[in-house]
Amino acid sequence: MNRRTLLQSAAGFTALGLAAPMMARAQTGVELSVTHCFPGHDGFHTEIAAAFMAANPDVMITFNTSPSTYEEGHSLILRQAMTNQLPDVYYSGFHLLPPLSRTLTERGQITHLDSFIATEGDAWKAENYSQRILDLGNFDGMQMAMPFNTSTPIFYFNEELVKQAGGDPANFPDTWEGVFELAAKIDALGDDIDGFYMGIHTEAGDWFWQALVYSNGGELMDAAEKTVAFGDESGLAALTLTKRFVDEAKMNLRENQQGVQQFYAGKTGILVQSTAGLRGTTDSVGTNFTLRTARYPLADATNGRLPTGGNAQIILTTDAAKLDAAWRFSKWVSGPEGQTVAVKFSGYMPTSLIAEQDQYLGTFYKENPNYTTSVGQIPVARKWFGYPGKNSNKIIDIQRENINLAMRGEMPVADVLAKMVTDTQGLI
Amino acid sequence: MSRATLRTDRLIGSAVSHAFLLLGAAFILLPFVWMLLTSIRPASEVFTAGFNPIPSRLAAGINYSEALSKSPLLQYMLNGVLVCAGILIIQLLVAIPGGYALAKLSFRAQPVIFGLVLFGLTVPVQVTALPIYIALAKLNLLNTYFAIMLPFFLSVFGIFLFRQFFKSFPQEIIHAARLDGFTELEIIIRIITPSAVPAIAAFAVFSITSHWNDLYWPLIVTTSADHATPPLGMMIFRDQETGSNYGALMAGAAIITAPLILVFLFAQRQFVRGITMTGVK
Amino acid sequence: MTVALKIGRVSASRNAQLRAEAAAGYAFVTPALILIMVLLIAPIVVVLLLSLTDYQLGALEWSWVGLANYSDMLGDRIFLRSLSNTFIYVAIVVPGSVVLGLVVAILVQERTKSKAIYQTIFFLPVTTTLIAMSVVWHFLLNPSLGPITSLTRALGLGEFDVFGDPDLVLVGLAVIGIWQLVGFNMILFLAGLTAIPRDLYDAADIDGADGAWDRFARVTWPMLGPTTLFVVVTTTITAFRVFDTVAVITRGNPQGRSDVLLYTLYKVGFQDFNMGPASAMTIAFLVFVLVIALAQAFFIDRRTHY
Repeated sequence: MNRRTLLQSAAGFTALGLAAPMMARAQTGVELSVTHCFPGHDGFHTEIAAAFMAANPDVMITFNTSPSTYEEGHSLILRQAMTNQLPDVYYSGFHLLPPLSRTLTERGQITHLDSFIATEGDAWKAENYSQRILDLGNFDGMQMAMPFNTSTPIFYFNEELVKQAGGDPANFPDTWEGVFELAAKIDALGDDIDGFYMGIHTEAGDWFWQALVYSNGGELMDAAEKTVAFGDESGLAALTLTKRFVDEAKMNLRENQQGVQQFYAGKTGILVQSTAGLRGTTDSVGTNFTLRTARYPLADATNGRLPTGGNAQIILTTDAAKLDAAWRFSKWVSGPEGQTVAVKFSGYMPTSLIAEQDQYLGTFYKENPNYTTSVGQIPVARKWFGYPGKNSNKIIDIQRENINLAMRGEMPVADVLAKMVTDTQGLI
Repeated sequence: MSRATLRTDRLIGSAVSHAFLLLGAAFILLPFVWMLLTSIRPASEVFTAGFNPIPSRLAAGINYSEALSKSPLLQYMLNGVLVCAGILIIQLLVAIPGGYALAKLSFRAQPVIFGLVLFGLTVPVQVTALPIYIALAKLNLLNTYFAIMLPFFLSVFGIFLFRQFFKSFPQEIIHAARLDGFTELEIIIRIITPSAVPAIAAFAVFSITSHWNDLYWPLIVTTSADHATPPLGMMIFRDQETGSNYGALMAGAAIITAPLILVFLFAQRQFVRGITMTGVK
Repeated sequence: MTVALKIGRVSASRNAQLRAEAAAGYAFVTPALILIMVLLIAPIVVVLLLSLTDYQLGALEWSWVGLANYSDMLGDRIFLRSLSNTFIYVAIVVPGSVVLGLVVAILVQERTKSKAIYQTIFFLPVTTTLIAMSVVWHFLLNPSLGPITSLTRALGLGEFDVFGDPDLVLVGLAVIGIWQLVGFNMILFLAGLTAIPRDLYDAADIDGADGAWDRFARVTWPMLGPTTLFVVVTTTITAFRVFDTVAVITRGNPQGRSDVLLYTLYKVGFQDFNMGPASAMTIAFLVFVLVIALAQAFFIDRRTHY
């Protein structure tokens, strides 16, 4: 037994040393435990936290393991709320923010931000954040969260393949018809070349579906959030588009990681993804081909919109001693220093107004035009919708299954749409 | 049958069997070979290699150092060592006396307890996971080494194994020891346990392999990287590395799989003995 | 008189001896018994009880619902699909890995110089961390970029989108499952084969056994009976418990066709927190495993005499 304790202590010390990259030394003071989703984001989160700790030596930030998706994170936080193991700070996907913050408010396990913002004052607020950004984290009349990463869906394309197929990279098609035509021509270039890929049938979350519905001018639910509203022509057009991906753009229903890897290798012409993947994609593509980006087509030119992807930071601790540190951290990550790092290392759009100035991101955007595509879509970006009730994850899962039915031609599109409406309505 | 045809038959048979074995070995080794090859490839070549095994330039240094610096792989392996060692020690402390008692000592509850052991052999950890998780949550012990090890402290397989092993221990030695004035405790410590060293080795190898590679339970109870065991660490690393550097990802996979393979290569006999002990009875 | 006294004294000390033995027996088995109670029996009882309630993790109130969870489960499309997926997976993995294990064992048995090398090679997958190797397999089976596709294209077979095609995903997972189990089964069969006495083969030869297949049918196969049964049962139980590859590669996709029993259990219990239905599923899982194990015990009893 003695040997074991000794071994464990020795291991403990070694562990501390080995875990050094993830922690920084702090004398006394506050420790904040933080959870964010997507291990792929560990890089910039750690860097931002390190800079924060350097400027605030009395606070120590420790990260928990990152759930792989927003949905898994949602489940995890709810589970931890039940077992009293919540972290102090969590970054929730926008679409899961309403159900999460409502549940946590009921249980008294969240701290709203209104009083902090009021203390900072209106001038500070106006200087740092646009109302649109703050609205993303505002529900039921309360500021529940501080937006951290925002994104919109964009097109990534392989300049060489587009040229080979006779397309013009400088004038990428802005209608679905144009896209399908181009994709079909790219697909015809070779047996192992595909024209188009969007992981709507396999990726976690319902973001792509919302993009299709919104860009067709539709709504997901009525204003009272009681009735499902995508059973109309906009919804039908959206669902039909998914089938047209397969029929007209000749899309192969690959598993998500494999589909994306194919694009990196230069074997797929067009990839639809969040702008958040831009840095990762650029790195993976490397010198394989010239990577360009283009806007997402708005089928409804006047009313078409796009959902804002990304996440916002909520403060879960109610411990008075930690709240000051947590708010300072909130301001940092959504302020110019934090946002510069976040944008450069991902492709997400900045939430801080100051970050757009030259000394932060201004020059970066001039030198990296691919990153500005998403920024140009901000005027048509709206909130990522979150279904009321406790079944968000189930709704998303069942919608994905139905979309698969349509895409694989197993049921007529109109029937699938009706089924999707009923299934969703039943889970609200 | 003429001698010549018999010999040709044998040669053909031998050639066919060789071919089949080589094909099988190729199927078995394919992932290992590919993992190692990819881990030394530069990132830009990973997806464009096709079936070509030779990388144009070596990027082993970059990949392996990125794997080690981007993710606390060594920490994961250290956790694996701690968890497996902790589990094994308790398992042995429980199974050796338990197995011995069931094999050699007679007491009334023996058949009942042995029956429970047999029943337990069929029950995997997933069945008992829910209540143990709830209990640990209520005791605020989640995300600790203790939590990761707890369900595995009981190894009915170990109890069963040692019981079978001790069954064939010569009764006369025990008898003689008793006549010599040894207490039961002395018998088990000074005579029985030393004799069980081969069984202990075989069981140790078995226990370490299965608990080093466990995913289900650690996935549920661990939420911080400094407690993550190798499989969980690999999942985290995979999610971090989804595209930027597949070579580094494969390097990470190689680092995580290496320890057990090395242990296996050194302790092959124990592995094999451990497995055959379970089966051919 | 002295004899009776002597016997009396011997039986007295014999009784003391037996009591000491029994005391030691209880003492030595107590740690095991405590753990069995705490980690095995109590949880199973709790799971049984939970399966009769509608308890949700963290809920403040709950109620008894009798067998509602079970009847819901038997009509639940997702549970039934999960069950069917698991059965299909088992139906591919068990014959695949048992037959291959047997064939490899027989072939390796006859080698002299290369025997040890083959044994090592085939057993390697058993020791690996399946998570890490799953990531490698995921890449190997990439339908446009992986080496297996290059091979199938070269052979004129086109490409197989193993993880994207709902009809192929269980096959893909099964291939990985077989890959991992062949070596284990090979070792078991090798042990069984070495236990077969040589003179049985000589006797068969004298009886007119003609060629390798005949000797196999007359001697090897019957003698391997118990071993084969054991291999089939352990492989079946292991295959039933498939989880790692699903959690790492497919997560139940595409279209839930790789959603297996343990993965559904994990999602319902630890992501949806529905402890009632999750417990019912756990009991169902336990029942399946017990049935398979009992089948083995039953058949072994019948087959032991040859």
